[in-house]
Amino acid sequence: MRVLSVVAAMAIGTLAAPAFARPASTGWYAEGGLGAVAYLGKVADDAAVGPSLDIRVGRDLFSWLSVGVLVAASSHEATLPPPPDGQWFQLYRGGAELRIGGRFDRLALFVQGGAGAAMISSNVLEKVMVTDPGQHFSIAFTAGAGAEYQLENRHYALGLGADGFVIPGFDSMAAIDARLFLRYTY
Amino acid sequence: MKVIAIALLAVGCANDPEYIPAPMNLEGGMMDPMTMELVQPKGSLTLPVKTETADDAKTRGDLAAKLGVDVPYVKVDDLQVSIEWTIKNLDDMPGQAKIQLNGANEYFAYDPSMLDFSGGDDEAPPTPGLDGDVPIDVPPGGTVQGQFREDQVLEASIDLDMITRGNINPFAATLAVNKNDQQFQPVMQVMPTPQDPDPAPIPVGSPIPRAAFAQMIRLDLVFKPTTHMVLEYAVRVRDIRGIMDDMLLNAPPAELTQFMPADYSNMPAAM
Repeated sequence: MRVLSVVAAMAIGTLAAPAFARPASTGWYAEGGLGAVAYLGKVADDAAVGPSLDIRVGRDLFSWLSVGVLVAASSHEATLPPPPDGQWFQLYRGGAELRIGGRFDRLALFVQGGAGAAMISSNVLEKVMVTDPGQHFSIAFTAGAGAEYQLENRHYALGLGADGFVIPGFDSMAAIDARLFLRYTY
Repeated sequence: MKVIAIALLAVGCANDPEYIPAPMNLEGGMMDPMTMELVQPKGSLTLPVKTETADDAKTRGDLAAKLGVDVPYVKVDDLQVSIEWTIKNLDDMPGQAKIQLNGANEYFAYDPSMLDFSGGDDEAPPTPGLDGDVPIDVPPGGTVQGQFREDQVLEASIDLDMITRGNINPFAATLAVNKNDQQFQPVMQVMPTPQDPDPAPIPVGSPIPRAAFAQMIRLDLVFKPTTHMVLEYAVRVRDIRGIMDDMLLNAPPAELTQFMPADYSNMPAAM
């Protein structure tokens, strides 16, 4: 009976203990991500899924609001009807973003959106009228969400994110950029 | 927006390829009722090169004075050109096709069908094209893809310059690998005869250094199918020097250099 009382007291004590929030830095941050970009809709027939690299730098204004800038690059095989055949092109994106999020202990969730510009490295998609003659630039819009896992070190977090982006000037090219990233907060 | 665009431009490579689709597909292999021979269509595409700036013209003039030879506006290392092609056999019979590459630089156009190097020998082979003429098997209803690589077009450009400005025999020029040559020696044009089918070349003028080798600015293809086929092609250009118009073939003609190469002729020198 005494043993049961002790076990019960320990269990109640454990459950009643306050949750230990893992400390996480806030302020200036930098993020580097690796992932893949997959096109949606009609462009998916003309461009294959390709590897992507994303770099973000920003500032946490509040614990729930951040602003930042993004540069991203992805490389794709053009799969349009030949000729040409087996050619690759690169898509570069850059812009400013607003991020809203919340922290739940060691996990943080966020949504983000922004606008900027995109550049395509060649005119290989002109044949299928994704780009116009001489066109390499367009405005771009992006929106996405993700989750971060705060590591023991308060400066570092690992995360998963996915952004959708639309490039109106490139025949409304739409794509998903999914990535695994490492965040460092100063 | 402008800052972002400049930053993105800095990230992109200056010599990313641009693709120029052929003005039209080449369809051949049908019997021509007039000649009773198979139709062998020809296609031509002139590269959209911007007009020469005053600075470029001055630089070119200075280089010409230094080298003592004519220096073309478009030189071999200014552009890296390849030609991607697809052949579709529209027939229900297997067939073969050949693609012959010819062309023009800003000085001369080379058309082997208009040249006679036989020296009166009926059994002499026809004057060669600059590249290609390799038999390609195409299954019935099938498609075959291929390309003239950058190094092949480079070789063809140098061969064209050697044949036309250098008067080097087309067989000698095309059968040797010249793409790494640093110069060639022009020779006097001498026509082979039955008595002297292989006349010794006679050097004339100064050697032409690589810095003055002319790049092909017009690409001519001759399509030679044995059954009803269509050739579709596109030209891929890496513009190392930045002399191509951004709008490519859609550029206003006034913004492009209007090249007027002379037809190369192998008129013999009096011997």
